[in-house]
Amino acid sequence: MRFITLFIAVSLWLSANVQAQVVSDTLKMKEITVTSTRYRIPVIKQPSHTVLIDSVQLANTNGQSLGEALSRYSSIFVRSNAPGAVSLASFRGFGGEQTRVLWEGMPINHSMLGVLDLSLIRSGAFSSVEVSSGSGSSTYGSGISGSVSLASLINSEEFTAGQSIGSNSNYITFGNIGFEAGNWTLGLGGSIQENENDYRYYDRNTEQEENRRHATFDNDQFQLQAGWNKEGKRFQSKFWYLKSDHEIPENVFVGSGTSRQYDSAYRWVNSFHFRKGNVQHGIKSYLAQTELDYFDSNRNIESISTGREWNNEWTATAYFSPVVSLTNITSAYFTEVKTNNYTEKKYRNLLSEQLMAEISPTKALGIFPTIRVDHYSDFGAAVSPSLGINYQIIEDEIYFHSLVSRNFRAPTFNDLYWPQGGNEDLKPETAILTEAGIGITDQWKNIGDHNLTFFRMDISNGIKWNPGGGTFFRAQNYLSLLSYGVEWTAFKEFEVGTYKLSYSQSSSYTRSTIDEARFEGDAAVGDQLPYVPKWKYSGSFSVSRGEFRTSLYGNWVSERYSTEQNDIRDPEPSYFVLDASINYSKTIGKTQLDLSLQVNNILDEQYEVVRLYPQPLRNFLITLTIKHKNDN
Amino acid sequence: MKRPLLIAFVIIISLTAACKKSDSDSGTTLNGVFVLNEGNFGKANASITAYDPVTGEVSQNQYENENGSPIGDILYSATEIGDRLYLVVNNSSKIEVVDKETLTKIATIRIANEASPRELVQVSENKAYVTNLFGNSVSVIDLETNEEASIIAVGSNPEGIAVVGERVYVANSGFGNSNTLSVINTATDEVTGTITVGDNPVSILKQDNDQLWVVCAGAYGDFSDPNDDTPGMIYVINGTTAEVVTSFEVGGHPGDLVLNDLDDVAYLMNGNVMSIDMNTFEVIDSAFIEKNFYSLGFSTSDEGQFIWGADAKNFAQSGLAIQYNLNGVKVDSFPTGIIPGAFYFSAE
Repeated sequence: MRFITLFIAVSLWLSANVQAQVVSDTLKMKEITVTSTRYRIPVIKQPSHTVLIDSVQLANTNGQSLGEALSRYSSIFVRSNAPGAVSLASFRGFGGEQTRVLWEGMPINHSMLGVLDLSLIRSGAFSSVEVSSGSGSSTYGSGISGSVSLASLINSEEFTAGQSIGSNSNYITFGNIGFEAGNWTLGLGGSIQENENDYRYYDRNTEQEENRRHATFDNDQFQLQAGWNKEGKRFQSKFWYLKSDHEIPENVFVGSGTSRQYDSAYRWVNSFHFRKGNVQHGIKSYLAQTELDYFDSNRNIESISTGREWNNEWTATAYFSPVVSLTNITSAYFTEVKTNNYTEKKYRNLLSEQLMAEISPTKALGIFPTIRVDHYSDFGAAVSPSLGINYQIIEDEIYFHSLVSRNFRAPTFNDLYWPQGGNEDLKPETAILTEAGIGITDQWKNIGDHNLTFFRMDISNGIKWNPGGGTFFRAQNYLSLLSYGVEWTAFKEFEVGTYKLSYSQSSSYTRSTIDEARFEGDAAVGDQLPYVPKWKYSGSFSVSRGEFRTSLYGNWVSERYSTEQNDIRDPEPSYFVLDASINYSKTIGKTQLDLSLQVNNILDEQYEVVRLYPQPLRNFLITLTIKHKNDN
Repeated sequence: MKRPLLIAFVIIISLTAACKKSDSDSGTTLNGVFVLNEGNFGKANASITAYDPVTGEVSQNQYENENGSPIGDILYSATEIGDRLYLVVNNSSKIEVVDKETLTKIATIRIANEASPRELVQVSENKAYVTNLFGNSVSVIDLETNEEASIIAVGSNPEGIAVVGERVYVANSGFGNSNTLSVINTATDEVTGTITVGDNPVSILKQDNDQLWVVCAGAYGDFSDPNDDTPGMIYVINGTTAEVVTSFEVGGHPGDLVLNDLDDVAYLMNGNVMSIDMNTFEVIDSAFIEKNFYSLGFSTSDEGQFIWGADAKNFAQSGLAIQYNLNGVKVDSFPTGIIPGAFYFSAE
């Protein structure tokens, strides 16, 4: 505990008090343009706050899943059932179903389950991840508590190859290569991971140290990209293939288990952007096929499913004047699910119309009204308006942002069509989001980049599976929830002598409760929702000098409850996990050699994110990477 | 998440459709009521609630308090043998052997291949049988070594079990797709016959005269179509001869059944709690208690006979145990753990 306090205290002191020379070539917050909000403007001009996890940060989590990167660099709490097992994003007190995950602007949550398992995605596969907490339904449709937006861009001037070897029989081979010829770029990248996950832990069931069993995880991912760019016209084609074969570790009281899951996904997105007059056009088409097959021989379960999606989107932005621009987005989504769990093939067609305005009556003020109408073939229309503002109190130094939006989440295919309890009469969940925040950039007294955002969400018609008065559980519009809290992010880079130092932190307070009694004697009203920590802190601190860089990453999560009634069991204990890495980098001509040693959980914290799913103790990962610039 | 979602629906169905029994003492004074709380599937938050009917004192997490460790995933049934209680922990595929008074852990019996044990019955001095829901088998338990000694293959998805002399009857539920009882000879540990009963036999209760009452919960057919379900039935079997005495329809998809002390009235959970004349095999009152429960219990002592119903509420928070007298009038109630699935009564 003392170590945690010291780590946080030193980090906060550094962020606020270091009077050092600011690194002159640092990318300033005001220059960072984010796209996940659909407003292509710098983050400090946005109506809601967005955290950008860049390629360097993602590379630092190489060997780990996307969930690890989100845990480390954002306010998202990742409910991980330990390495090799399911891992879901929990945003502002809600679950993976409510968090929209996008790849290249296209939603990739599983259509049957509504969630995206972050454990299947290796963080190093992406060039950037944007975490937009205030991104409502007016931006991308279904989704209540923000979005995680993944972008892929293989460097066209570089060849990279690497190998990671880690504890618990973890092997990752990765690489990418890019070419540029005339107006064309081509990139190919991929990774192959094999992980036994046979780490030691204390088993509360057998009351002795055990090796984690039944958690092997094999994962292959490849991306192929092609681009063409000429005179303002831009074409991009990106293909992403993912295949995963893994056993499913269950809680320590269930034993070794026999369940196994195969996932595969082909995703292909093509986009073309051009300008005609004062209108910027974008056309995007997305094709995807996902397979999710689950087998458990002991329980006689054999679940096989195939999902297919075809999404098309046309965007047109008209610049009427420097004061007003208007964007129209027309989309059509087609989804098909075939599974042996349903009685027949199921479909969903979605037509969407979206109008977004960006109004800047003064240089300091931005007003962002948006309205989106989604028409679903299975449950009808959802209207999602929002109004955001951004006001530069001191231009590029201190700003205020605020957003009010009405959001919704469409029922999943399982909610609607699962034979035992699916409910085709379900309505979408709806939520009113209000958030307001203040940001400070490093230009203001060199104190670093900070953002403090307060939020409140009122959810009604929350979908939950409940005993419906009969034998079976049934999906029902059942919940009324309230979530509110505050998020604080900070980032600072500076120099002390010949040392370059950087610090970043993300912390949050979230109170998330059932708001109204659902039945007589409902004992859970006002209690914190399961697995929503009230407090979360993650911070990193790096020092580099010459060819060496060392970093510390701390992640503290307060106690959580495993049941909706907080007094049934003791809360799950809080935990603090400290990771460290040392990197050595040597450049010879156009070739760069990187050697890194990553030590995870160096304090040997014995902890569980989800009750009875033990996480690994101290473990290591050594990575050797060779990069060669092929530019002339 | 996707794995629990995919399997939880299947498993929850099987759990909620089934009924289970705990042994009860009948003696002079009821000095303890234990509620076996299944807990949520895959969350290993099963627990035992202890209730003192004299003082009204309620103690939650009694096993964990006594032994310092959770009991496991889905505590399904309890069987008293001598001074021990055999707690069958279904999804942990184990049986915890505890002192019946203190719940102090004595031994753990592991069931191989995660066969998913359901109900245990003693068949001889040193031998017990336990049904295995996913193993499609009955495990033979050596009560001296506390080990699984062998396995007997039976029908699909066995649940209830009862012993009469050297015959053991096993209800093969098939999750609604079976309609048989397997008959096992306890001397040879071999299946000697099969009895056809109604669809989805889930539990077997034994009268003092060795007559068996088999609850057949009925088949579900296409789950999305309630019209193709088959109705719940009760089959009465002569346990000595292994012959069907009679059968009658009760409708719906019945759950727990309890028999009163005189073996003249049975109480069946079937939407409401219905009362059945055990001599005429006719339903006396289809809504003897106008409330649906997740499980039922029946206690006998000098204080009287009582029906106990457990309300699991929304299966995600503490439940409620309610005590009724034989007029169906509520006498008392107390909170339980998550998904109260069975009662065990301690009397002296």
